[in-house]
Amino acid sequence: MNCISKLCDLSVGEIAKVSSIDKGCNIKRRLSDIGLIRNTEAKCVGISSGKHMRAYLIRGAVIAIRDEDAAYVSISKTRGELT
Amino acid sequence: MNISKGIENDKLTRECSLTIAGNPNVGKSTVFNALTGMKQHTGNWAGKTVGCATGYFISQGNSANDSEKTIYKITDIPGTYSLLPHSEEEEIARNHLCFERSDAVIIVCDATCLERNLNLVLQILEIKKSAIICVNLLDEAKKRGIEIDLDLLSKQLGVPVVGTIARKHGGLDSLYKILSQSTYTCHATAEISYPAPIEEAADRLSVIVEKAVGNAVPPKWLALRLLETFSSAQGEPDFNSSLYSEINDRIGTDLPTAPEIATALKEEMDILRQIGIPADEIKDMIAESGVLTAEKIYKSVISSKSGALSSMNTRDSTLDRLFTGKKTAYPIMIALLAVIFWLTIVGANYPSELLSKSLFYLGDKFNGLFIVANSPEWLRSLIVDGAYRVLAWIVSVMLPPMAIFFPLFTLLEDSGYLPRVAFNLDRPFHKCKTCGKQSLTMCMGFGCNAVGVVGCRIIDSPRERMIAMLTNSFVPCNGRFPMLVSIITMFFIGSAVSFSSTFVSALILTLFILLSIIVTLLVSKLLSATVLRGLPSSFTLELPSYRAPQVGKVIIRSILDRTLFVLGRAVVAAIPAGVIIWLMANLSIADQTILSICSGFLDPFARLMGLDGVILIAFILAFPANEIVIPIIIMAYMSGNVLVEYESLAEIRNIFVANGWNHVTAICTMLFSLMHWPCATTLLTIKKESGSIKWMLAAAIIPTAFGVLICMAVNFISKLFI
Repeated sequence: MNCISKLCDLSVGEIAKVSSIDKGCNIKRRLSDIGLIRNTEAKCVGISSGKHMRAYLIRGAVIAIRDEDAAYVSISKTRGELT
Repeated sequence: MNISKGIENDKLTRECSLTIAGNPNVGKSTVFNALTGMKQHTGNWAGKTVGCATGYFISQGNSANDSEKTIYKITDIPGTYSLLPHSEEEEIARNHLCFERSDAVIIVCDATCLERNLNLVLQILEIKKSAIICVNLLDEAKKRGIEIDLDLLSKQLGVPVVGTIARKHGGLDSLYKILSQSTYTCHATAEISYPAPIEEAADRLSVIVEKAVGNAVPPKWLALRLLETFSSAQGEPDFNSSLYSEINDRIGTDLPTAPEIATALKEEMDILRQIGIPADEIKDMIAESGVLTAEKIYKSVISSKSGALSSMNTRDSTLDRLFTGKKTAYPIMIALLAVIFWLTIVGANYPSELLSKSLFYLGDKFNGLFIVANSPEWLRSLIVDGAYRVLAWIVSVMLPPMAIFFPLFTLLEDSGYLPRVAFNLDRPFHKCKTCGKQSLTMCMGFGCNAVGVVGCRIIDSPRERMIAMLTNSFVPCNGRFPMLVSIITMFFIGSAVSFSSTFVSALILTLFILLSIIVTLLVSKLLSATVLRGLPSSFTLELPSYRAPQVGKVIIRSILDRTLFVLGRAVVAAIPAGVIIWLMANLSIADQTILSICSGFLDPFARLMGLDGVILIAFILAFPANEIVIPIIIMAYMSGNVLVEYESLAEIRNIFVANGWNHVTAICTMLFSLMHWPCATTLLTIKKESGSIKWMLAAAIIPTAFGVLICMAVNFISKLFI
């Protein structure tokens, strides 16, 4: 089940690997500061009401990113739940 | 360690300056407090520390032969994720690390997300070779099954590594020990490994950089920054520009435009482009190198027991589902607010009564002294009726709620709940074209508006930061709560303050606060559409692990701090205000007291707003400290009528009603309390933070304008129905 989609498409519990981050992303540098670069794994751990913002587990820390920004991050979904 | 009396006088004093750096919310301030014994305000969310704090500790030397005493000067800087600053506070951190002389850096890391922390560690080691790494929060890492080989990490980095649990002072002995050895000669060996072509380009460029600006700041590091800068995509702000202007200020060379630099840089960029690395890629590759090197080091020191994607604490997941869930987020936020208010009201009741009785009893005795001493009436009146009574009122009615609310709020901060509020409220703030972090600064404003304004430094975009600063005073600060509670108690609760009436009080107060939050959003939206136009910026928000606050410690320290602060302010602001009102009430010009002239002048306008001249004067005189509004009103109403009792709220209500108050007056006074010019401290802070008088005036005018309009509207509507 490897489908190309965006980081903001993840539901709670799903894990994905970043395949690329679009040039137009405003927070590209900020994302690399917190460790989200190509081939990084991220797990969605929460969605705000109104599906506006999602919380992701990245390299041990939980970071919330707005869906409109996460839309610039292309991913390949790896698996459902972390064992 | 023994010092014999003889040697003591010959002790040499060594000075050593240290900086504490690290990601946000890892425990830097806790380590700082532990080392210096100071009491920096810590809290469980990223952005608590927004300025630099300095403290000292003295080490007497650690062996009988060591006759040296060392004074350590320690600076706690704001947390930053990397040395590329995105906000004001991160810039402060970066500048301090680059330009301030310090003998060593203590880099504090969070053991539960060490991998990410190592990125900053490696970046710092590029410019500061003398460092000590403090891997903090080991207890939380242990709970998650994360085990780190600290010795191996130390070997890999080439610097000492200490494991700590700073909150419980664990591991600090080892830190002291390392510090007391000659740490400032230690030399880090770890380096970020960049792709070969970039490494070579940086090496060549660094030679030219060194010729241009010397090596106060490591030339290779500057070379890499130059390579980054010139690959900025069009339209993207250049985060390094502040670095270059700092260098220009200090050394006198504008790095990017210096001819020799510009030529060499263009050459290197061409070379890189020819081998297939365009300008955009350079920037990305440099940023990623730090992350990848950190990843490599981390994987080598982590034990195999820990999962690849360190699983989240189950307690955190459950709590988050509750606090940020679709159906539960908002109800819980509102309920929490109501509960805190209720606890404040209930907790303040008894101390308030006690203080009130004792202070007024003392007041009578004090009064008696004057009479016995046959002192002139005006003197007695001035000091007892003017100064002392205002002070007594502040201490008995205003102080208890303030002393209780603040610790409760601090406990909430320490728990880690506040970022969840920002998570939930980002959507409404985004709709108003501002930043979700504004909810954090708004929460800070509940404690003190001046603190909230300074806290706006955590907002990256200058436009959004300005909006947050201008709207901060719509949220009532600690000093305004007691006034709101008093008025609610006087006019909306039955005669006696019973247990159930406290619930009603808390509920009404919560409603008013919700109103002030809605007004904050609306005004933010208005500002975004008019004076401070622009697109909402992007940001990331860290949701830290929930931590049980150290209840006892926090409460005691906070109550003491607050009490002293309020008392201090009462003496400095309240007493003079009381004296002024007394003078105004007792000095006459042409048969009219100054007070009645002034209040008469303001009265027509005030009546339009549902208030009266005295209330407006009180607000004006309460400019230095909001908590003195009600005492001033009482004083003004009572001038010339000193025999009236006014010890309990019921009696005060009578005085107010006798002077024309009704429910509409109460509501309008409360509304104006929420929406009027910020207090003196806050205004000065806004001027300092924004650097302009124009915005300071705007900060005074905007809430006032809204206050006046809304009070007029409420008054007008009430007249239609009554």
